[in-house]
Amino acid sequence: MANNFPSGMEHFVLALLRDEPAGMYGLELVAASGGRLKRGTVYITLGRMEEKGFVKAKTTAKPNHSGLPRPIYTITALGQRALEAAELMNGRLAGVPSNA
Amino acid sequence: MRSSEEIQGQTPEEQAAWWMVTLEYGSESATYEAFDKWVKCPHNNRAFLAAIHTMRRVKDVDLTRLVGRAQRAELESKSLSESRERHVVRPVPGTRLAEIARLLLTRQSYQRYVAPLIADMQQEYVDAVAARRSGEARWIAIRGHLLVVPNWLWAFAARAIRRIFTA
Repeated sequence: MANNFPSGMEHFVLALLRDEPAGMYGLELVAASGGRLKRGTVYITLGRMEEKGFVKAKTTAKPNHSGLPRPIYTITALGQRALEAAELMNGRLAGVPSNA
Repeated sequence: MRSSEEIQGQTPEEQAAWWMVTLEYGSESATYEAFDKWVKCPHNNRAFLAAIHTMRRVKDVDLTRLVGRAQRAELESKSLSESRERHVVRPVPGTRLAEIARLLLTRQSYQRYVAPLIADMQQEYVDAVAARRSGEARWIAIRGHLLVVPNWLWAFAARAIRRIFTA
């Protein structure tokens, strides 16, 4: 059975996406991560998260060239719940009393 | 006298005759601008030069000024269409790579792991070219192709792992 709990990196990406309701491009995530995400592997992480249902990729407008359109990633309701659960668990493990 | 808008439905030959009569005795600058626009079209240009040729045979008039104007418009039109052709023919880097990846990978693996990376490279490349940073554009294309490799391998591995666990 697949592990549906977010890993450390997935948790980090979910937290970035939660702050941007309109969604972010892969390279925007790399830039916002401060070096934690690499441009060569960001789509491996995002692809895995998409498989788990934490994020949704949407290709918007046609690009201004003859190439491929860039997907924009948004957090799903499941991703939101997974992020909240991970934060709650991290808080408890760290011994910080949670508000919930 | 009719205006240039009123002759639009007519054949290029009829329009050419109208322009020749209108411009022969000089006209306003706006009319010349309209003529320059009209004569840039290759059909109109040919019709106009043919009309001038015919006119010269039947009437002894100096039409050098108009011929020069038509020939200049033709040259401008040609260089414009050539630059458009150059622009259209050249595909952005990664187009062939995307085609190969689409053939070798499943639709899902291609869309999740490889296509976004190629799309980023193409966007960055186009931005660099638009900013006239050709060296950087070349580097973006090379780096983009190299970065696709680990993603491609992961796409294969992900498919293999999925097969093992779903078997």
